Amino acid sequence: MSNKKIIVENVNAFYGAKQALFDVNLHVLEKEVTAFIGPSGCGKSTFLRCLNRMNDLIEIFSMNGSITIDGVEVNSQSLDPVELRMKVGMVFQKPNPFPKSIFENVAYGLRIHGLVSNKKELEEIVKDCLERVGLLGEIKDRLHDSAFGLSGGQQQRLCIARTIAINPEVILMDEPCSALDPIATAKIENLIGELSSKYTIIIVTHSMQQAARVSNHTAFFHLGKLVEFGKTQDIFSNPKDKKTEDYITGRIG
Amino acid sequence: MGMGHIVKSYDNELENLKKLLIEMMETNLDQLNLLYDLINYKANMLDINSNFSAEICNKVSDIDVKINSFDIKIIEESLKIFSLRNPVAYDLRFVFSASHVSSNLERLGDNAKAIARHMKKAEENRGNVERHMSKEEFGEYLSSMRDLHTSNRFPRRSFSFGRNARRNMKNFEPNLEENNEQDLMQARTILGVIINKYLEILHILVEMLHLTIDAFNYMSVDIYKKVQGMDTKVDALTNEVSHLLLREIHLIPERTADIRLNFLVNRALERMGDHIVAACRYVNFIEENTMIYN
Repeated sequence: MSNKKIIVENVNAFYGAKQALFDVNLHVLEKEVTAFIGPSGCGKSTFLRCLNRMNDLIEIFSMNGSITIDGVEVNSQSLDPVELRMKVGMVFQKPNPFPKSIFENVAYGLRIHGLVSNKKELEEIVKDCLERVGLLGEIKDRLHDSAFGLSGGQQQRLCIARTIAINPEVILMDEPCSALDPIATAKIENLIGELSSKYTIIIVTHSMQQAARVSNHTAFFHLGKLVEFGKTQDIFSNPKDKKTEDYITGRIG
Repeated sequence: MGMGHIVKSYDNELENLKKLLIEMMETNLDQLNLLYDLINYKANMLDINSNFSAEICNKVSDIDVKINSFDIKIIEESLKIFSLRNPVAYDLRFVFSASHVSSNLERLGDNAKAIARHMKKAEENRGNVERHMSKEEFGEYLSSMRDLHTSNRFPRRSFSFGRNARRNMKNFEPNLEENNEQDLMQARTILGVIINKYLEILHILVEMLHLTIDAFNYMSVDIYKKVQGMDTKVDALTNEVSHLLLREIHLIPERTADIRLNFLVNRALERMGDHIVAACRYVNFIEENTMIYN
């Protein structure tokens, strides 16, 4: 039985006067993949970004309630957001490599966080991360070429390598395959499965088939409310809530 | 499911699949009604030579071809929806069930066709004394069959009476004496009772199939439970017929070949009840997401 890595209690979120999340309660289990599904504007990305305080950058954003990761309150004023984001990495919808070489993209986080003591160690970690995302074999002769020369799928895997390089505990993925073709998507999904043995992964996706394929638990959001949260198989075979059933069967959007 | 899909063509595809299932059931119903006519004809006009029963038997076979094509069409449509729509939850259960329901309906058709075939054969055997065994031959046959049965080498398909009948036959003593008038009268009366029981069973099967159509139209678990209850009655009646047929063999063992055909008819009727329940059971699966296996 996995431990509760993230515990969310009574979370409400607002953009100015507009409430985006209503009393969200859930827990995310350690070393499992949890998928957030729901129609556009339902609050799933807002909620995802609450988990590593990415919304702090939005002036009109405010929230209340409690989000704890390993018992530490995420919104505590004493918690440094940089330290939090080291622990809770994020992969975005569009691959966003730095305008640097493939090697430097992975090495960057390690350098700025002072996680390596010498060049040899840096090289070893970079190669290990690239190997774990299945990229090293494809680009081993081009390590110092620009990351922009990679295909979309390779760029996204590079971003994942960059994320895992600083050894986070939680990886947040906001529609990581929406800009990729089916082959690149399959590679990322395969990678998510492999990474889940080491990391707690939360993925926001619009593809219900993808949520069904990659996740252990699924949360369905609708109009800012968490409608249903449960085992993925139960959600997709026998949802308890009619709204969930209507959404996954394509009756509401 | 009250609300339609956002993609209307998906709704149309699911509706079309349901329509095919209902049409297939209605075709099965036509077949059952023809069987009812056939047995009713036999009940009332036992000794009159006519082509009527042969015509009905041919019609039953023709309908079976139609039923088989429905089965193929339903499987094709289900596969199309699986591959193009990736159904989940209620829709997944419905599409998954459609091909299973049609398989059961296809077997229902096969059993109806088998009954017509047995009836036709019985008709052909009528008056053909060479096709029947003499009492001496039957005595020999029964003793050899018992030997096989006790040695657990009973050939299941060689001369099948069905499992229940075989079990009952273990302690069965046929009448190998010369028939007297009273025995023949009794045998004829029993045959009449059997035919009436067939009609009663078919009447229930027709009703069960009607209810199955309603169960799918309204997706009603309550109707399914009613259908399930009716099958118990079919089982009880077929069991009674099995005992009556053994009694018939006891009285006129030289007609065993004909009576055996009746055993096969009886068994097919019992299986038809099972297939209707098995088809209707999917309403419960679609609605409640639970599968009942007996």
